Amino acid sequence: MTTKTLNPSFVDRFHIPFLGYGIGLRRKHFDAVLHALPKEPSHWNRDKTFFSGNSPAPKDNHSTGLCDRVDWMEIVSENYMGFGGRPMFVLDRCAEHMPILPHGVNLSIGSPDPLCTDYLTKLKSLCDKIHAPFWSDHCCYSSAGNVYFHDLLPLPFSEEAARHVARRAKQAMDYVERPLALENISYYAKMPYSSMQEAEFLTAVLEDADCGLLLDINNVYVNCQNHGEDPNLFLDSIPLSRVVQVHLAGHRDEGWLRIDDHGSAVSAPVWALYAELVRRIGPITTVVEWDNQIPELSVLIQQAEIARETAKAAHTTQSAGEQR
Amino acid sequence: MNHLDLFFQTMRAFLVGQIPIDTVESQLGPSSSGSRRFAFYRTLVRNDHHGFMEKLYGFTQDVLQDHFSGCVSRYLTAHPPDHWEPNQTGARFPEWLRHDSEAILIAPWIGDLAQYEWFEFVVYTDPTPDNPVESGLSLNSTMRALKFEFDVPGWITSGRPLAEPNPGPARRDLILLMYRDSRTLQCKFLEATPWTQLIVTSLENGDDPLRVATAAGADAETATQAILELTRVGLLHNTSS
Repeated sequence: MTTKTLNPSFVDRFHIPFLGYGIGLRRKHFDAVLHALPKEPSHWNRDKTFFSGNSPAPKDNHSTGLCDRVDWMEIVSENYMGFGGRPMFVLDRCAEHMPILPHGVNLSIGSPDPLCTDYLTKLKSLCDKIHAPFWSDHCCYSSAGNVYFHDLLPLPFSEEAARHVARRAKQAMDYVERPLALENISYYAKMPYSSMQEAEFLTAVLEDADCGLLLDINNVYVNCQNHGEDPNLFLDSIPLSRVVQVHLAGHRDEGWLRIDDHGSAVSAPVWALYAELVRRIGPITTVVEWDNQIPELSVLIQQAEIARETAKAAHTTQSAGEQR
Repeated sequence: MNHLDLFFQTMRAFLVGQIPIDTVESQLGPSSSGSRRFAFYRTLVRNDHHGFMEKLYGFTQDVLQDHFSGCVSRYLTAHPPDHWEPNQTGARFPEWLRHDSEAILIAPWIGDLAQYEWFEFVVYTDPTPDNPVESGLSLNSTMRALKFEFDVPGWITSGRPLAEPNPGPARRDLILLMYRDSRTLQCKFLEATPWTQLIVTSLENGDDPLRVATAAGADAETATQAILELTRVGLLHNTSS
């Protein structure tokens, strides 16, 4: 039996761990999360358990304990950078029990403005505090001319923009002293001056900057639907060996446009595309995002469990295929 | 100017509402996805900015009702968001509201109300550690002393924001001490009395509050009781044995 090695080059060079299946930590769930954490700090060892590349332990779907059902948590970096009080208290408790990965929204890697050193300093401090093996943000811009738009805005898919982003990504990684994974965003309009396809643009950025890819499967699906493209061809066209993490989320169909609103459960076509990805690259660190009309914690945990089962089934199929 | 510079310059003006999509298209060329989708980004950015303000200023929005959105738009034009932390979008809103003639006409106390809401957020998320490091008596490091011209705190605690019809808070000068209780991590407040102010000021200056209070004319028993009470409610920490 042959086992497909996960992202050999990037994972090996940067010691990227497989963390399993997680959920986003959101303020609405603070009380429920604290209630569901074990009373005593867990015995997970960040040096020996996950970060050596071993798989997380099997989970108990009938348990009410959070750590029995979820392997790790993702936080929105900016919600904890320079903040204390209850948000930091809850983060500290969670970090006692499971790995935490920081996912930013305002690095603004494509901005024409200089990288914000205040931002990077606080981000590095956060990464140090939670022992993050890598950090992530979006391949986009969210500020320009000293105005923060607080949205993930698409860049022109051009060689000029790709070089610009890659140069800044290298600077940011040097500052934070950890590998960076850039996420493919959802985009509703292709920007003027675009001379490439999205996959070509992403590949140019990732290869030039030597970054990881946080592959948002919902965004792939939404973009392909909105722009009449084939999601499987998109997967064919990006460097899958650089995928270090996957995002799953819900979207809504407005008729004229599919909106990536993170306001519902993961849709069936997105689960199918996720399974296709796992068949191609094997199990991958995965998180389910839910940011609007946030449901009870149990619903989010169920989504993470579906991700685990979907990946398990897809990987089994892939392994059986290879055996034949 | 290269393509990327022109792109950002034009998109910035569009995204903050200074130029319409037609102008963008005439300067950069059209999007192959069509004008409607291109223009959608202005709506998204506007919704994001207004969304942060609505989360921060729920009571203020309740009072201004349909006027809130217009106020926020005028405020964002005067103070475009210039910080990576989204909540900082609203940092200058209370002071701005005090000078916005439309808002003041609806509620003269609107600036005080927004100040209350802003500092509730600031204190709740204050990065200073909750556990006192000094030995002896110390001031809760998250405390902010704020001047109010209207009794907004009393009005909020009595449930008046939800009252219909709503008379608004009474006119009254007061100093409010807002702080985060290190036991519950919730924001609390206390109206400062002259004795409270004296104790707080003496601690800020590194003086012994008991000595300062008695020197100012308080008897030792009264001053001690005041300090004990402030410790009980979490404004002061006492780590002495």
